[in-house]
Amino acid sequence: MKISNLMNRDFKLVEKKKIWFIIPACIIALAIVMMIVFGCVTGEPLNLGMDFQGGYTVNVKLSTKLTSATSASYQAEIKNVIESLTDENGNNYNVKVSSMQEQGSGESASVYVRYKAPHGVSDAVMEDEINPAIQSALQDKIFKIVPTITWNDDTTCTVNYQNFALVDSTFEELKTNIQSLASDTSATVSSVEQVSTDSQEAGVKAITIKLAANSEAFKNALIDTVSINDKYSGQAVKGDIISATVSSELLINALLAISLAIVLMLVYIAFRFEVSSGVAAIVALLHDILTMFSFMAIFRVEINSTFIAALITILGYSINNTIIVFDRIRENTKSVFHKNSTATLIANESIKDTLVRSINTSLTTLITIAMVAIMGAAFQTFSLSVFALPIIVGLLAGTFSSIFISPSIWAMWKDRKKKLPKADKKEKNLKENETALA
Amino acid sequence: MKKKSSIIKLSIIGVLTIIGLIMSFCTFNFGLTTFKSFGSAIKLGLDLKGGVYAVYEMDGSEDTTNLSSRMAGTRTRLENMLTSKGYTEATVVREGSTRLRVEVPDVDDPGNIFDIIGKPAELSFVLDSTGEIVLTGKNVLSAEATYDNGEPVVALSLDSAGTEAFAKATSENIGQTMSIKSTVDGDETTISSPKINSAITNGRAVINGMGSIEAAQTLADQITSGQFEVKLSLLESSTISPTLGEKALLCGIIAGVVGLALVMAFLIVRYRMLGVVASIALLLYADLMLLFLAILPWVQLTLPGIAGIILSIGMAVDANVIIYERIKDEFRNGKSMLASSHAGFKKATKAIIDSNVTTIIAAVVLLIFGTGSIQGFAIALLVGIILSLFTSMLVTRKLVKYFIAIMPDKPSWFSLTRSKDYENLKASESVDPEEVKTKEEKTTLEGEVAHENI
Repeated sequence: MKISNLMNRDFKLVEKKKIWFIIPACIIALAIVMMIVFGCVTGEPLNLGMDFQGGYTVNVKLSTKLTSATSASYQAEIKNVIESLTDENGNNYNVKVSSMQEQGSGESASVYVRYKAPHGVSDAVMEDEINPAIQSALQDKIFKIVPTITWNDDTTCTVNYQNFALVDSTFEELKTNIQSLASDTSATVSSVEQVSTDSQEAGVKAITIKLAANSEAFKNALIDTVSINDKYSGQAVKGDIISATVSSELLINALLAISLAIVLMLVYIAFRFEVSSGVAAIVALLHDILTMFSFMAIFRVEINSTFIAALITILGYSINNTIIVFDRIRENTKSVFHKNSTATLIANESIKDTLVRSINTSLTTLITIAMVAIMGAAFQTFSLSVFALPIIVGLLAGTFSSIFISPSIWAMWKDRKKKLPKADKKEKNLKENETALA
Repeated sequence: MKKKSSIIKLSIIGVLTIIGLIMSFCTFNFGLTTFKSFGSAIKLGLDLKGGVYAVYEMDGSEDTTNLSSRMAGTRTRLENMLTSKGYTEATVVREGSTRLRVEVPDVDDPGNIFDIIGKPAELSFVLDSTGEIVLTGKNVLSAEATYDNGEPVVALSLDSAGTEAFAKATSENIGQTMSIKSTVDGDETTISSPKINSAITNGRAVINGMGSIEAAQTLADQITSGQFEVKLSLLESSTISPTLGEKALLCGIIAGVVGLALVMAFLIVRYRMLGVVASIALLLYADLMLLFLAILPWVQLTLPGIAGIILSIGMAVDANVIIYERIKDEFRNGKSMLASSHAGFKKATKAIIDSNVTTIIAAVVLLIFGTGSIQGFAIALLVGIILSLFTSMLVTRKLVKYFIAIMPDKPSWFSLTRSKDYENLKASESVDPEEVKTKEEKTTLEGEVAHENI
């Protein structure tokens, strides 16, 4: 109902073209400011991902412990260890994990982690300081056997190791460590004993600790002391620097292909419609692509190779949208009712005629791509959402430009030519300034 | 009568769509043979399904001058080789300074990676009389397996230095034998020792004695690998899980199904019976899309490919929306239902063709000049657009005709309404209803004639 009300009113979109041109100009200007600010502060105007920048790898060899059941929790743990890593002063290194994959199976199963260097950290610092730190942190935290401690009363507790057999030397080591912990925390240990049960075939699974005196500090620190670093259960292998997946050759090739596609589309539109329509369509296309870039720049979304796919998706969509409007313009221009109409009037009329279609089509396409974004978020597969977001922005920009921008440019071009002979010099200059601004 | 035949035709299309849907998603066992559903037969990329990886390391003995640029050159050659074998989605990255990591999607057995890349072979042409090496693999521009007089051979084309050396050696040693040797992993084998019958000056050499075309292909690949600027040996290889995570594929499927259902619901609410038509056409489109993605060689579906499909679904829906809005316009201004549908289709055709052709131009350019995942996107988009044109211009047109024939007096079921101007005009004219009917029939006939002419 609302749409049909709007339809009956006089439509004066093209006349307000200054507003339509200022909105995207502001967005793009904001993006440029953000890029300059981030460029000065961090040296990275855009948040480029590993596909373009390369990064580092580490391979966490978990062997048979890595199964489909444990995979998710191991991956979460690895990510947490790497991303929360700090230097001696407790400052976070800000290393970001970009992908984790399972590699191999059975004995050779491992988690292959790719991560990006933090902003402004040199390769040498990564190699000498951060990468070894990551490796040893993973070694300590991922391959640790952490027992459960149950306090029977304030002075007796049982430490249970699951699926882990204590050999005598390890037990003696633990005993010494517990004694020294007690003396550090003003507690007194009366006995540390191995518990043997019938179900255990080899070694010991649990130990009991009896205390003459207990302390809070002892209780709190015990878990760290009785955790065993299990070097033999796996290994974090320090990987190396890896190059970008998208080489500069590949990127240049992609840009050339896209440029050629745009030129050929321009030729086709100029042939089927008018040169002015072709130019207006390409301006709309550039608007959509720049808006997507602006979105990535303003919100610092990581740009990976999937962004190229998002860009060419919008390239196809934007042209499609614009052509539908220009088809109506072409038809209305030929119509007898518009023999003496100005281009502005025809453009307004054509936008009005195609508005319902534009809204319905944009809505349906938006539904499909929004589902990808929502599902990505719901399943914690955020790379899908990151892929869908710029497409959603491009869709909205494409709808906007096909309604507000390309018909206005076409009308401006047409009416300027028509008026030129009659118009005085002042107006001509004014118009030219306007075009230059646009 | 017309109503009956329309119902029959409609049922046939409906049944075909449902059969298509079943074949798209269900896998059957017929005794020993298995029918794989279209959906499961689609080859998937590294990002959605994973595959195998192999890490190659430069031989320790190799000298390290210009290492960086030679590694980069080797990487490019490997990439081109994988692409030429149809693995457009494979990736090659440098790891450290002396290693290359190759990932190939949708291959389960890591051993297969050797079949793809081939063990690098060093080729040499040696004069038996003097032991002089005339040519090496470095002089080879390209090596391909082909047939020569019905015998499988490897045809080599040589660079200018190679051509010169080969011409000199063959012209000076007519009647002698020349051995062609290849070295793989340090093992030298003599492939053949042909007699030189005449001087060969055109820069083309042929290796015969291959036995089979497969053997010829293997050698050709090995020679190509042997040309790499850096000698590589395999360090490790294994399977690898999807880059986007285990759940990416499931996520994509659910998003696709829910998205499609929501779109159909929207179309039905907005256009009623016409929306039902669009939904049938969309389902048919989805069936065909899955079928083509499954049977076309070189299609490897990745995230960009999914974007291509989403775009083509958008365009398929768009074509329907454009047509329906035109039909509504025509009906609003007083045409009969059938005449409105004919006129609507006719007027929408130009816009749909122009927008689709423009996108086809973009897709073809990206397919020819793009690389890797851009090609994957282009294939998905191209197939999608052609199918969307087929379903919107042919299937929808027929379906609308059948639906109108079944329900000829229920325009509101198609969300078709007359404009107020028309209603007023009709009331003021207060013409004989019979006359209006004949008028309408006349337009219908005209519409049909116009339709036949397209």
